[in-house]
Amino acid sequence: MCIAFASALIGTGLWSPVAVASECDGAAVMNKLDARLNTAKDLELSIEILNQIPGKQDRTMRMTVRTRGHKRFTEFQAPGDVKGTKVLSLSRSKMYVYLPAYQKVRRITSHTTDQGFMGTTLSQDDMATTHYGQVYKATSCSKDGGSYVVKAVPRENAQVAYGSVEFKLSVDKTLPQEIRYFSPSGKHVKTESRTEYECRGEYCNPNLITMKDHTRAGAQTNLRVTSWKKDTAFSDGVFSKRNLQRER
Amino acid sequence: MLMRPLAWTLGFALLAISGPVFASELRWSGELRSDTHVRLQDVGEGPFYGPEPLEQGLARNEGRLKLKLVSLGDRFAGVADLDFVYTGVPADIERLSDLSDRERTDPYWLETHALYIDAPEIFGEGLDLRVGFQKVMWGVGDQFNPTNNLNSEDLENPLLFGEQQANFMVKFDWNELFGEDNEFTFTAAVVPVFKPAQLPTSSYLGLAQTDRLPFVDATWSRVIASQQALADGLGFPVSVRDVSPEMPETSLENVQAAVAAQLAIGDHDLALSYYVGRHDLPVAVRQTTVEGSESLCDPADEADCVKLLETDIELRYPRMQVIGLNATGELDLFGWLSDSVHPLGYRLEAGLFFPERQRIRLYNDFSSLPFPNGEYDYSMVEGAGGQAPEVLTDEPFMKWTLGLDYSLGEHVYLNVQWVHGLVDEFGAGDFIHEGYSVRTSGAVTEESDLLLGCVLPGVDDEGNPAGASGETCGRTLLAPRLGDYLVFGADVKFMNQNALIRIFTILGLNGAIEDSYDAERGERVRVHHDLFSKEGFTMVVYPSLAYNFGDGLELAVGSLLNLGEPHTKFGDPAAGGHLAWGRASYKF
Repeated sequence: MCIAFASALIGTGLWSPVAVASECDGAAVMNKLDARLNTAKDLELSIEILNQIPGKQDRTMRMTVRTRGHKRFTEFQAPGDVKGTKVLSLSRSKMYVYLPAYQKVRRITSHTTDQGFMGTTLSQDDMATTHYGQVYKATSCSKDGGSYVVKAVPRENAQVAYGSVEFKLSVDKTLPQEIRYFSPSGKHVKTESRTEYECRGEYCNPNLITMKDHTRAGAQTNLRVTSWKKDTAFSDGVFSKRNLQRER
Repeated sequence: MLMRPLAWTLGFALLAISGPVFASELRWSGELRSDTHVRLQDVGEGPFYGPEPLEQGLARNEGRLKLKLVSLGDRFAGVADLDFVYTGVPADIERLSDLSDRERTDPYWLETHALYIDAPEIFGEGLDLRVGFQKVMWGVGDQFNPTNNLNSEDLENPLLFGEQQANFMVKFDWNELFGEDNEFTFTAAVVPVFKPAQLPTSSYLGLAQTDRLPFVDATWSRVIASQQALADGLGFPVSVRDVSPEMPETSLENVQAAVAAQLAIGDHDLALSYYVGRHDLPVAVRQTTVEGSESLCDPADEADCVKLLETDIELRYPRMQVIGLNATGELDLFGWLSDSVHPLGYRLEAGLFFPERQRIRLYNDFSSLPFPNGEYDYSMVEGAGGQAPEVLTDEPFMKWTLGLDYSLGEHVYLNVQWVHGLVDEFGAGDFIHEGYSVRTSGAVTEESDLLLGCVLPGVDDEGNPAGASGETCGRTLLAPRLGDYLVFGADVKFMNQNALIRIFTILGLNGAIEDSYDAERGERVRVHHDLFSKEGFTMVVYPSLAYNFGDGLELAVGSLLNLGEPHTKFGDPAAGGHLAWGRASYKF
């Protein structure tokens, strides 16, 4: 009920920052956001991806993801045409992909990182950003009821495709509810919503992430977390090129 | 004979999927694929005594089941990746009884892509071992990898550039992470048994190219070209009867080995490697030519009769050592234009080859021709010093691939590479160090007396004995032993990334050099035909259209056009001519 109501509000734009109630310190809120997002030492997630493109049949994929800090190791389990594909993200500018058909590890060049990741509405950049404060600088902050609304622009040396972003964060836990992405010309291009948070200790995980791409006629991708574990202390060797070629 | 073991293999594989699994997780994946190739024209039409040409029509009608099984234990894994391939074309049906023989009515084969045990961190953190049939794919170049030598080439399917065959090997890796996100990997691999390259089905048409002489030395090419022209003019054309590769013995001496050190540091990935082993494509080391005993007449013209000089050729896989360098990363060449211009991705792969010198021994057995029988008297040729002619020198040479790629938005991907030395090119000879291969040869005259003077020893201007030089007779069309190629690829994705138009081209950049004798000037002259001339143009154009229907199904159609004159790289009949193709693939 609450989620539906929240969605309806989001859909009608009633949370718009135009209705500013009070100001807040954007930089401090961003710092708090990054701290909240990274309270787990590491994470292991199983995710089901539903890719919906108007006029096309829905496409479902499954993947497992292991993350620690900036680093992320993703392995696809289904469907058959992507099964066995692995992606290693060591930083926003250093990523590798292993394609089983070629049995080769290939570096992902930055000119592809703002493109759809495996045909979804999420880009490599979207997937790789774990510390927003390192990429974006807050330009304004407002507090509207139970939410902060923070506007931010890319930092000087940050290589991102967006011209600006707007975060809507819950006041109580400083967790993202919605992130709006704008092109350099100011066009609203994507909306990411994070819902169904499940907290274990300090860390809260959004069990549903939805990314809508407004430039692709309403295409959207849902990432449904089917299971997750934190602080399992797996080896650092997971985040290696070598591991991309291992079977185990 | 093969059917039962194959059936067992397939049966075990299926049992493994469906049966109980003890203390391990079994993952599996696969693909059902059908490939149809249609040859668009007859290829390799030659003299009536030459090999049968490839006929226009169906060239491949193949069904393939790819099956990959991975058994995951707590620490280790076993991997089997096998293809069961049905050719879909009955073979050698000659008698009624053949129709009862499934090996003839349903020919098939098994391809092993992987059959190994993977033991990560078996000797401690970062120390991995992998034992069994596997592919070790080194090299950052796209499909053109001079540093990738542990596995042999699989050239059987002309559409699959860069495909390799799995080889039994023992591979050890030591992996160390350092700094924020840097990585060092040392790899050592040993391959006990040499495996030769798998050749395309059209390769037999190369046997008709008896004028494509293998000699390094231009004098030898001129002399033998003149000798062949003389014999041909007398009604004794050369024809290859048999070609037999000499496989290296399975011995410690023939074990191949390689090491590599890879460093992923900052924005660049670097690797140095060393390989010792053999080139997987052979060179000719012995040629025995025997005058045929019977005359053969053209079925279309019974007056056109010849006696063949039947030639048997022995091939050997030359030893080599290769020092490899790989580097990949990004170059911000055009970032100054705009913030929206991303760095270009670059890939540099270079191999410095140290080959083992190879000479070809020549033997003749003629009854009608005026040449001595037995082993060729090498002192008869000028400058030979009594030694058999070289077909491969021991001079080091380099092959490389230098590539850049870039994406224009999410719909267009561009890739361009400069490839120096294709997989079948081996031996010193390029723009750095002169050296040529003979693409075609003959003589500037048909007059027997003149030709005889060119192939037999004579005297020099001062009356001293001199070897034959072919100086005034021989004519050759040459290309560098290591060619230069511009490889261009473009992908255009549309219909929500499900449709892909791909165009892939390889353009030969060297053209051709015609080397002949100019009687008016009284000297040999060379004429360069540039890459866009009729004589020098050679190109592959490989367009395709693929559509991904989702759920693992993809359909694709395309063509492979091998353009150029028959003496050129891709116009060569042995390259197989033009193909149209279709593929249906379901991955699961």
